[in-house]
Amino acid sequence: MVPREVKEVVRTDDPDVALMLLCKGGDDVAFSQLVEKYEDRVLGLAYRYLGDRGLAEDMAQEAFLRVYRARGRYEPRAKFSTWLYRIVVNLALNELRWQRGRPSVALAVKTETSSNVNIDHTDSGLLPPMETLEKEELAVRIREIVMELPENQRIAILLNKFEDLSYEETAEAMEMSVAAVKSLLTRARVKIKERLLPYLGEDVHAM
Amino acid sequence: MRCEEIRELLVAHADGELDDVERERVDSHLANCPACRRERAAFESTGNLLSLLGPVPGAGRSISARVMATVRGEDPWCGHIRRELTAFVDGELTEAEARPVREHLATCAACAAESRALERTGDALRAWKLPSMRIGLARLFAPPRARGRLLRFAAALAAACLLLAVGIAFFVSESGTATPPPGLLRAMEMLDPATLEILDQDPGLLEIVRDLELLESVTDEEVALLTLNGSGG
Ligand SMILES: [Zn+2]
Ligand SMILES: [Zn+2]
Repeated sequence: MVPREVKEVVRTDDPDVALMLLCKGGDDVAFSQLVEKYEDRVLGLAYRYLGDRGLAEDMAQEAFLRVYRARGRYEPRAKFSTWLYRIVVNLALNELRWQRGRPSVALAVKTETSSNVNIDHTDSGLLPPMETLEKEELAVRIREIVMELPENQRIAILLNKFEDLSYEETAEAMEMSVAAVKSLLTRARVKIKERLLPYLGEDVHAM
Repeated sequence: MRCEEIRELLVAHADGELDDVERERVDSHLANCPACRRERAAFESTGNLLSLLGPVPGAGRSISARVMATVRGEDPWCGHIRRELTAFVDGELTEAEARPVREHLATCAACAAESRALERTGDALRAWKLPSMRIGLARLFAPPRARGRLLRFAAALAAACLLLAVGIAFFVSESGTATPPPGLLRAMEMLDPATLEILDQDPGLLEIVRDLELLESVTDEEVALLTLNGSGG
């Protein structure tokens, strides 16, 4: 991935910025177009972050409502998507108000994984090799590993690996320096590697 | 460069996020170091495995439908705002609490109208109740001749507050079948039609009454006394 240049000027090259400016001017149709364009991405990010479909829907909805409520203050200083991700990140890391009265995230994830698949999680150091595991089971294991990451590492990994944000864009969405993002991602990837190494094929070990 | 330094750069190397100088240094190290090469490959493979997290189960158009419905008026956020609105109107929220309410009111016509209505009813109540109540209480222990009338007045108001407090304000609107207690009837006599309408329509009145410190300015004992006296006279 090549780092993209982020300009601190009005983004006339971003069609979503144009839509958002229309929304700012009172055009709800423009807003609905933005929601439809980004809902799958925001829902996906929320789902992978929270591990629960219902909670993810609430979070995605809240993110878009915040976009709508903030429309009057909107200034096109970054790509629209970066601004949107910043709202999602803020919701994920700083704001728990919207999920007050909900069961804890950890609880929701536990329920979901344990009802789907039976894997012995008690001894993660002695996991069976990849070929004996169903792909689905591996997916569950990966989900658990991602959920075990600290929240800021988790959101950084999701932005970088699933939303295809460069380090610089991830830094912008998380309102931190590129160096801090690099460090977060390295720590996250070391942890993921350690937990997933038992699943990797022989080719990697033989290299 | 030593292996330790190289390891710090391997994730960014696998992600294609190194600048040219760094990348060349890592590349030349990797060419001669099988251990770091293995490490680099492990980062890449495990990174690729993340794709198994997969898509959201049962994705659809549910989000946009819900968001747009909310934007068009049936807004759960509005529900939250409405619950804070009385305190907001009375200036009882902290700045941090008040800011989202203010921002919401700037963009939501329905909640803004509700806010204005609350302001009006608050003003009406203030104008109607506070002076009378305070005079009434101040004069409670005044000479006997003046006390009779004042007691009745204060008792009626206190009864109204009490009845509101236990949530039977609906008597005002649904007294067709039930017989309101005498205290309430007298309290109602004291109310002008506009206030009755407010009572009728505003389930949040109790909070307004509380905010006006009507109840706080009267001890439980005083209210009990007033109510007893009122129902007797
Ligand atoms: Zn090395
Ligand atoms: Zn509203």
